[in-house]
Amino acid sequence: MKQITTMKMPEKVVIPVSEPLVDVGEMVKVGQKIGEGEHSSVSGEVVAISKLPHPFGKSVLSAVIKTSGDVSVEFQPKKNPSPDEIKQIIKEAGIPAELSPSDIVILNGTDEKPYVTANHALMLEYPDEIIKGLKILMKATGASRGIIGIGVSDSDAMEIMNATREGGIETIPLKTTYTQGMEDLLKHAIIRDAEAMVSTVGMAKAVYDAVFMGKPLIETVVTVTGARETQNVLARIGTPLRSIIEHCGGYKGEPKKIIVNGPMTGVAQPTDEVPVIKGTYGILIQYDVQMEETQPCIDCARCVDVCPMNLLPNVLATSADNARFDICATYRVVDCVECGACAYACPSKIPIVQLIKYAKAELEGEE
Amino acid sequence: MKLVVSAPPHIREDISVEKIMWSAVIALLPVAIVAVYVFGLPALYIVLMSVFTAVLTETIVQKTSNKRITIRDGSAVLIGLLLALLLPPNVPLWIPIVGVIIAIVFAKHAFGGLGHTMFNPSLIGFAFLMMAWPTLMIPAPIPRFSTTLPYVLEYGASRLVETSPLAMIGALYLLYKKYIDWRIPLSFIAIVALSALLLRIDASSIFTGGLILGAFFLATDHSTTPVTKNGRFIFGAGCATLIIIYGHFGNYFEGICYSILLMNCFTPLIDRYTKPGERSWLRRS
Repeated sequence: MKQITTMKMPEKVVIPVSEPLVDVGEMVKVGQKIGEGEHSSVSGEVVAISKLPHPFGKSVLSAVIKTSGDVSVEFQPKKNPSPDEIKQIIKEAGIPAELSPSDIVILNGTDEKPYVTANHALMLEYPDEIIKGLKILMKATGASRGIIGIGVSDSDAMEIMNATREGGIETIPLKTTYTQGMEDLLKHAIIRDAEAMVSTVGMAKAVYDAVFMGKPLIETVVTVTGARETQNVLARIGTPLRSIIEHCGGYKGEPKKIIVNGPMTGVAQPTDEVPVIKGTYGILIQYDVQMEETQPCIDCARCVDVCPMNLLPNVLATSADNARFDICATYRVVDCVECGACAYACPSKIPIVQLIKYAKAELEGEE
Repeated sequence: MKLVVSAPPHIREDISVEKIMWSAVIALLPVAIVAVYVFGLPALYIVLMSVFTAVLTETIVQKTSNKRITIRDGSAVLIGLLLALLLPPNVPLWIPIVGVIIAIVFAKHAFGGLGHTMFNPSLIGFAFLMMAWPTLMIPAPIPRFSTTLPYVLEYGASRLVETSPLAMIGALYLLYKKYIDWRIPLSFIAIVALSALLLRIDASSIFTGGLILGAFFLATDHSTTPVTKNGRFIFGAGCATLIIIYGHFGNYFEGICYSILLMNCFTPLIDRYTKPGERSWLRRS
């Protein structure tokens, strides 16, 4: 079975561009640079440049491109690039990766199971590309070790990666918890005392495409859960959620909530017109949404037991609620990674993450 | 299409305060039934009267103070049931009524209700009764039949909860579902067992229903016990140490109740001194 399905060309794409290099009415090709680190993912006519809804909330300046035909710019791969050239290529390709000198490059291959399986699918489908991409990242950062963290339940991915990997690259099984993917935690779970760079298997694939194919980052693998068919879709950047959901058979009923990225930290969208952007890995549709009433905290400490940062979420939430931000600061509110594990486990249904965000914002304002 | 926009997480564990409280009540029902089997109707009346008074008192308190009635969350029922289990079967029926009123009005709602209690309400009720009517709280001398099944059915029991330690096996379910924490019972039971071994205390005098109730149901009451992980170990160990001291000079059963109450006093202090520290690995860059 094919792990990842490819979408037919969407009618239009909406690509966020901070400083557009193209004008309305201009014709663009696939892979053409339209902004700093931004490329068109389709060929067609730029029909509008205006502020449009972005999956992370606020509206941002975006280019709307109406698709016609499938004409691509000529991709030019570079042979044997030096570390500095690699950095330049990655930047030019619009890959959001921070390359700093490291001893180790860690690739995250875990997913928010069972709602997201994009990383799992990527490893099954593109093992060679991921390994080569990782090699490139290691070369660019000067790292001698590469580590791929794979969920313990994904034994097939583990087998494939082990069969494909080369010297200097290790795979390690990771207990898939919702918070494992968070960068700092992943670093901590794998290694404590070394300079490490953390990326994902998807980014390694993008790096491969950029260096070996000369192709900028114009598509990404997205897991769609809650449509008629659950699928991993290779979607072009800028594709509206609606088109992807239609590709997966459409809605099962009247959708109540559409969430971009995982269920624990993802953002609920006001409309299905928002586009897939770089870094989008999941679309979750919910049909039955119940608003639960908040009850007082009973100090059951279930949140304390699940907190990956070893914080006291109950103390943070209660103090934030009482506007005692000084207490929040003492209890290291800044260390919270907002993974949502506490709010998930809370029997009183307290919006712990929002209270913590509120405290963080207040403390930042004071400084 | 009208979409709900709300903050993450977008999935929630299937858990509620009601579930936690009612599960504890259900876990305690078997021992109450054994008590009625051993002691007969007086035990039944004590249990029913305690629970009824608890629910009624909470309703009245919340009605008169214009608060939402929360008797459905099971917390009042649990307080009533726990107090009933601590009583001997020969107390007059007004004893549980007074004890429960003290527990609900003063120990629970005067402190701010569910989640704000400082001391375990059932134990406050028990301590009040012990001090006010010590003679009535003495278990009647019951002819001690030889028990054929120790820990399963104790005919020689003097209080409701002591009739069967094994009937509280439901506590394992609460542990499994993480409705109660495992750290407190672990250090609690471990220290008691270790001391009993070292001090050569007769197991039958210390491993009673009271100890099980204390370790799994009273010392794990959420708001009166520490929230930090290490604090919970300390709390259990503290309870156990005090029980051994109390028990050595007095009575093990009362020792269990008073040691937990005393440790409740230390809860804020324990929490403060076990506050999680700085993470060095995070702030490196």
